[in-house]
Amino acid sequence: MKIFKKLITILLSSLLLFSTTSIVACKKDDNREKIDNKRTQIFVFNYAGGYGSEWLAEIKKRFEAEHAGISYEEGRSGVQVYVNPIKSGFSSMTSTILTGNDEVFFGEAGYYNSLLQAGLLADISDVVTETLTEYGEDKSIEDKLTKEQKDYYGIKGEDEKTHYYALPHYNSTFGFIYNVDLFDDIGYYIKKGTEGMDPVFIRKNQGAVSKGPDGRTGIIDGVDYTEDDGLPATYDEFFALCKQMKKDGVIPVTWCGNAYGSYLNNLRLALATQAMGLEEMMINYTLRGTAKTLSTVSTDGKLTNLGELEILPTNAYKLAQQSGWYYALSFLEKLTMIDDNHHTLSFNGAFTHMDAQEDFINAGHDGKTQEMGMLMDGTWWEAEATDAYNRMVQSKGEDFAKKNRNFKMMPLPKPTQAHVDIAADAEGVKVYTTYSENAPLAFVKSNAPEWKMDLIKEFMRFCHTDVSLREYTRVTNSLRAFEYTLTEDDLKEMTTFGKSLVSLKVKSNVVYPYSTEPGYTVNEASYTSGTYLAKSIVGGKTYSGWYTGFDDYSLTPEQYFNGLITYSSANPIVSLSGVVGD
Amino acid sequence: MKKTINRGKTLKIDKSYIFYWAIIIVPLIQFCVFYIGVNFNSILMCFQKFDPITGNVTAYTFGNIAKALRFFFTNIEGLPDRLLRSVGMSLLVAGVSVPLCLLFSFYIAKEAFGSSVFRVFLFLPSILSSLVLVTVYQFFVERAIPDIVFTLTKKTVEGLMQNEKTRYFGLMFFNIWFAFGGNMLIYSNAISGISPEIIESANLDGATGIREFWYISFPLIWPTFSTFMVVTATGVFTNQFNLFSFWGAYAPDGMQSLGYYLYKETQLTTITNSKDALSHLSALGIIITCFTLPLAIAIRKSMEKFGPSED
Repeated sequence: MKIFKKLITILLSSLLLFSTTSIVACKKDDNREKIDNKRTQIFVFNYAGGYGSEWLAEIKKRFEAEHAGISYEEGRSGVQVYVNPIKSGFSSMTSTILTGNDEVFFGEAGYYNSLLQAGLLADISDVVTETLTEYGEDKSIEDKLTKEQKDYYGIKGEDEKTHYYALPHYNSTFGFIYNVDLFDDIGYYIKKGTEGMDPVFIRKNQGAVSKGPDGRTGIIDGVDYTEDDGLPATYDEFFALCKQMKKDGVIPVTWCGNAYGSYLNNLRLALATQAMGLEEMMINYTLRGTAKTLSTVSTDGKLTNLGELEILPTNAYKLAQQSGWYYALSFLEKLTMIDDNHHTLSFNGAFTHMDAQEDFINAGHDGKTQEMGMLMDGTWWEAEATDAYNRMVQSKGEDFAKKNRNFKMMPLPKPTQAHVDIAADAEGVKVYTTYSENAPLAFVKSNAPEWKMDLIKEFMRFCHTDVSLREYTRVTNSLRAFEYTLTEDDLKEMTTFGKSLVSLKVKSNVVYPYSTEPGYTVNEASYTSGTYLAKSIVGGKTYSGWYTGFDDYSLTPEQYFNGLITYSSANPIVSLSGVVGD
Repeated sequence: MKKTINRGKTLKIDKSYIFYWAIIIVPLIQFCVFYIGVNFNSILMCFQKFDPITGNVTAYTFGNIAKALRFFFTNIEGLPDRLLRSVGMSLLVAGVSVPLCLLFSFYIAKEAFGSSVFRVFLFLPSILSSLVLVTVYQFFVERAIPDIVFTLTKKTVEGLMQNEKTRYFGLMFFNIWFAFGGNMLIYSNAISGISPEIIESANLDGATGIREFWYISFPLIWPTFSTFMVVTATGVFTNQFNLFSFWGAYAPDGMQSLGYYLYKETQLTTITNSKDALSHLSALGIIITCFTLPLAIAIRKSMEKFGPSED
């Protein structure tokens, strides 16, 4: 009996030990590059999730080759770019940035003002503002930033000059990724002339299709507007598509049940942005401007515009009445409360984002997963699903490799046809507005060794040449948050999904949800948590999220929207006195 | 410990003295830093006003306390609801887990049939990390149970946590199971520490089984039990009931405890290094202490007054 007990004890201990080690998902140290003592190192931190580190590996190769044989310190020749991939956002690293080895950082959850205030960022103004002539370019990195980015990242110093302490990293947005092959095979494109609440769906080769959410078609001034033809332009058309899919036995939309709260909140911000446009949405962050969409809504969903209002920090709480917030809520209510519109596991805590991605790419091909029309995720999903693609290739062959699959980013629908027409009739190429996610940031730490700061800064510049930016896009099939042009050869190497992102970016204004307005910087937590304007007071009760309001308490989008201003005015993010920090 | 000083050429120090300090120094430093230091800083923070741009202290005021009180009395954040919910959840968890924990501890201390299995299974929550347990539990209740039901009945059901009707039960069951771990270890050891002569004498007088537990074991471990009750009371308003592990920052409104709210808000302000917001949360913590302190004292006094006497 004693021996039996000992055996059981040993068995259980071994099981416990084994289970512990199996949970720790670390890669073997053998695969990590060794530090080369004959070369000078530049230590680079890279966020290991999402887009991965393969893009940095390419830059590393070229930079090392260009600097081979050059001595930067005694006894050493050449440079080694040592990449440290860790899956940690900057917000949880603030206490280790200065003490760790890493000198250059590419990652996310980087709240610029907080990091700057904590003294973590080096001044890289020279990196950003000097022309990249040594790389054959006639532009500086600053020239590749939008006006909004320059306003945010460029900080006026005591010397009255603009200083840069960080740069944006990747450009990402959130929305619906659709299965082009499925859409083509079954025919989920809206027939021209049937737009509206009850459209007819056809294949593209069966006849002319609608103009889509950009309200344009054909090639206009060299820009191709046919990419979104036939796709749902309005909310009504989107849900009509879902209804049709359900009828055909296709799951309309799937998403990560494990993090449905944050995913749906990301969608809320993206929908509100598409509905409001760049100028109107940015007021939420700059806290200054003329708000034109402030409205109330009646119980039957009729919006009444309250006229234009000059917004200042003291009355910024009134932005809770922007109609875009209502439109987003009404869309989400239909998407989440009508079970037919989504996967049964979309609110299941054990259904992870990788499960959703794997199901989406396997759907209809593995003999057990039902066909799925759309995946709700961010533009990083394809890089995240790399392992799932590889498994599919192993079981089903090269036809199912990432480069051979056809998925595209669907431009988000707009609330009404009037919204579509306004964008279509406006001048210029930008017919969409997208919301930039995750606060991605690139910077050099403030206490990087002085003796190699020139080399580190040179590396930063190297990473932001057009060649490097294009390389990033080719490798990750996504975009960096800069203005640069891809060549035909670049596009040929990209997946269908990556190319759809390029097309979307060309036609989009991008909302970078940051500003240097003190009322914003002081309260950055409230803006960047993703729960901005999420709380509502209805009938004297505070609701911290729209989803529980709809699901648990049967509130309507109209009630929830009208309650946003009640909460916002009782608890303004920026104090009513206008005194920062009051 | 004896410190022996030899007034000759060498100073001899008792080795046990060195050993004692070697063992105690690290936990002592940890206690000073992470308990005394942190709590002192929290109290200080609730009176501090920070320059939002530089992060420097500009004044000491009662402004944070006033703001925190406003939060409570105007129900802006639904704090009174959360407070009541915290009490309800704590009573449920304690009401179910404490009696069961005592009974199981008694059973294990008696080394009755299957006690080893119970010991392993019920100690598991204190061996494995709570995040691991939550993940395993979540997979079981969200995927395994619906699959089992479908296999047996061909009926499609939602996961326990997904279904709003069973969500509360699922969460509470986890928390009750989670509450067993460390408590059972202490109770079973306390019961095992009762003198065998007393037990034998009680058995001879006819007190066996549950009677032995109620008249002998439980009264003798009363000091341990009352200490645990006081400690449990102090955690009522800060317990987040593993809500963050299950739902992150998006726990359903009707489930949120006060502890969850504080935890979530602290995470948020720490992310963006907002000292202003942290000082507001410190003030909330002070107000919550004003509820907790009398509660803990009341429970301690009740335990002393209504506990078993030698009679």
